[in-house]
Amino acid sequence: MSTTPKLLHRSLVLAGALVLAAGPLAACGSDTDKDAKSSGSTTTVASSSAPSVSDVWARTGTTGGTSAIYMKVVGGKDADALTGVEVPSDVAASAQIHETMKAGDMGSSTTMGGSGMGSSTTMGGSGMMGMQEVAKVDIPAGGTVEFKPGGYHVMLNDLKKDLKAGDTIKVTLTFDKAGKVTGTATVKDV
Amino acid sequence: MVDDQVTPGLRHVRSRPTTRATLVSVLFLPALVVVASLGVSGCGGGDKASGGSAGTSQGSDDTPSGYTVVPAPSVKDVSLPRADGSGPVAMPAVPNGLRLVYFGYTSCPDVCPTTMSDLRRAIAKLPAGERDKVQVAMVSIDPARDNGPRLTDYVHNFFPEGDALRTDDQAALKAATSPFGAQYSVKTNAKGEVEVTHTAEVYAVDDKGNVVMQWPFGTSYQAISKDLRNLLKGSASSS
Repeated sequence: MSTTPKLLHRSLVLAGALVLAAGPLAACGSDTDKDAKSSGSTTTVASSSAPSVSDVWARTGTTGGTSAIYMKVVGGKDADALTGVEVPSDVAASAQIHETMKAGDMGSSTTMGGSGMGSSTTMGGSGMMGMQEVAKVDIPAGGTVEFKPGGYHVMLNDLKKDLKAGDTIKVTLTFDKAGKVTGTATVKDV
Repeated sequence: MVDDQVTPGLRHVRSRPTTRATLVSVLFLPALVVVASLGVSGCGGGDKASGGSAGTSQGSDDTPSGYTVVPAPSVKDVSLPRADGSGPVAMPAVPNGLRLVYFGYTSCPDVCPTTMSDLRRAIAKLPAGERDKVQVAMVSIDPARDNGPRLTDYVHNFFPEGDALRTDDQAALKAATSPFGAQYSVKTNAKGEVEVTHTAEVYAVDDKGNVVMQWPFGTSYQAISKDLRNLLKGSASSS
C-alpha cells in the first residue's frame, strides 16, 4: 500500500468510505431470510390499548411432523397474559405455547410466567435441553415478549399439511384480558 | 499539494478537521476491513437465539467460539446404521474433513431445526472447495417415534447428502452417545405426553475420530462457520 500513489490512495479511501457506509446496510439487507421484520402482520391497530403481535413466522414442516411459530408480542396499555394460541385445524392438530429451557430448570412449575423481555433460558455448557408447555406468558404493559428460537415458541403438533416457504398461516392469540388478536405467520425455510 | 485537493472531499465524508486528514486516510483502509466485518457479523447475529455467541465474536480470527474437551473424546469406534437401513456410518470424517454430529429427534420444533438450519448456513458460508469436506449426521435419540422415513426426510430437508442415523437398539444408542458425552431422556409424563431432553451440542469429529470442537445451542452460524474454516485449515496443514 505504501507505494500506491497518493491520489489513487485517496480515491480508494473515498470509495472505501462509500462501501463502509453501505456495507452494514447491505449485510443486513441480504440476511433477511432470518429477519422476520416484514413478514408478519397483525390486525390489531392500536398498540396503545390492546396487545399486538408482529414479525410472525413459522418454520417449514412436513405433514405429520412438527413446526414452530415465532413472533413478537407487544403489550398494550395494561399488563396482560397470553393464554392460548390457535391455528386453523387444517394446519395442525394442536398449537401449544412452549418454552425451551435447560433440563435442570424444567418441571419446577407448570406455569412459567414470562416476566418481560428476558427469557429465562441461558444456553451454554453441555447441559441437556428440553421444552415444556406453559399455561400463560405474561405480557407487560408496553413491553415486548419475543418468541424466538431457544425460548418461547408456539409448537405446532401433527401438521395436517406441508408447510412450504411463502405459505401463510392465520394465528389467533388469546389474551387473558384483551381477548383474541389475530396475526399472519409467513412460513420460512430458514 | 495533493492533500489540498483531496482534503475537502474527506472533510465532506468524514467531517474531520483538515489537520487530521492525512492520518485518517492512512489508517482508513485497514480500519475499513475491521469495521465492515464487525458490521456484518453484528447484523447477522442480532436476532439470533438467546445465549448466542455474539459476545465472543470480538476475538481474533483464530479465537474459536466453540469449545474443546481435553483430551479430545475419541469416537472413532462409534458407528450407527442409517435410518434407511444402509450403512453403518462410522464417525471419523473424510480425510482432512469434519463430520458434524447432532443428537436430536424429529418431534422437536425449536432447538433441533434451529440447529440444523444454523449448520446449513454455516456450511453454506464456507468457500466452495471446503463445503464437501464437511458432512452432517443427525442421530435420533427418540427412535420409537422417529421411524426411518420420517428421520431421513427430516435430515434431508436440511442436508440432501446428510446422514440420518437411527437404531432401535437402546444399548447401541447409549454406547454411541456416551463417548461424545451426550445425554438424553425420553419419558412419558402423567398427561401422556412424551417429554424429551437431550444434549443440544453440535460435535465436530475429525478424520481420526476425535471430537475436536463442540458448540452449545445458540452459537451463531457465522461463528460456527468461522470455526469450521479454522479447523479445516488446521487439519489440512497438519497432514
